[in-house]
Amino acid sequence: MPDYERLVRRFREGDARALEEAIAALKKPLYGFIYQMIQTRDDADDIYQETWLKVIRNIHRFRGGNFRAWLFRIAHNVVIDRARRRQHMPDLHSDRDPVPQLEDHRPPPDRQLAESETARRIRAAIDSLPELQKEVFLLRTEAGLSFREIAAVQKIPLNTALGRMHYAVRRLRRELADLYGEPERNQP
Amino acid sequence: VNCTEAQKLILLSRSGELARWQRRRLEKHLSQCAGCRRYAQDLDAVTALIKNALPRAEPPPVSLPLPTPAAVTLHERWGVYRLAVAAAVALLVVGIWLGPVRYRMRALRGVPPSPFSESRIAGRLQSVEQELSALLRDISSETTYDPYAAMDADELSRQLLEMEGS
Repeated sequence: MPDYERLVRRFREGDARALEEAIAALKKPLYGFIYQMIQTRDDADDIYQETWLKVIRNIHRFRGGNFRAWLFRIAHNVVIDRARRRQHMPDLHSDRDPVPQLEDHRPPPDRQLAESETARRIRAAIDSLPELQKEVFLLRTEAGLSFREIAAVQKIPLNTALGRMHYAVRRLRRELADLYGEPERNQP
Repeated sequence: VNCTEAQKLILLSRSGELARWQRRRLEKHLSQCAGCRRYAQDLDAVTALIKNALPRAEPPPVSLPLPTPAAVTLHERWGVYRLAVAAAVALLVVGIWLGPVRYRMRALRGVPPSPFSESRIAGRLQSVEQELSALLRDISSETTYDPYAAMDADELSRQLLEMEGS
């Protein structure tokens, strides 16, 4: 894993390629997280561009520390802003289950075609998680952030981040048990 | 370690955030607890399932003009300039506020007042006033009209006789 803080320092010292290196190394985890949070390609693309735009505009404000946590904190804020603007706000300040809505939450048709039945079940299970648990789960599995970084992104204590992951895993275990074979129960 | 703590340690172990002493405690707990072993297996299975089954999409290229490092440095410098301007303004305000206080303190300590002190100006004004009033007195005394002063004795007696006759 590249030393992102060093890359930012190099960029400030005049190495223009350092920022491009950081973008190249972080594009997949960042886009993977946004895409799974948002679920539509166009919106994910917009949020991805907006996140980098904000990073570039505010790079002078980065005062050391963990660059990945700083980047994903910006992405977290952009996702919330976008949801607010669309009046389809995920309740990111609550651990409650999402409130059932009358809108159609199925993925768009192009995505439905691309997804298998298994993928659709997994998607539905992830979408059934409370937003904060879903975000912790995706930051860990899609973005590969450590729990300390996740705690920094959500501005919560480490134990709270672990608790949210624990509840997310417990619920996914229950809903997807038949898909992953339940290892110990299958043993004689 | 109880099961709740052990399950948190399992999560931390998967992200590589366990200290060696925590790992030893976790291993000891797992050797005795089938439930937590099962939790660890399920965690790995669920994570792998999700990673493999969810569709992926390639990120688009970042279509933004990347700033030159010089621009970033300038931005950082502007931060320093702003600090310098703020410090100068603060100094000016403190100087203006302290100025009169300083002169009063000098007067209290008996230090001769500066050419611009209030008492000095008042003294000067008073002397100017006195000089002006003296000057006015001189002018008025010179211009007082005495109709008899300019007459000689013959003219005066003639006028008196005229008055008596009438």
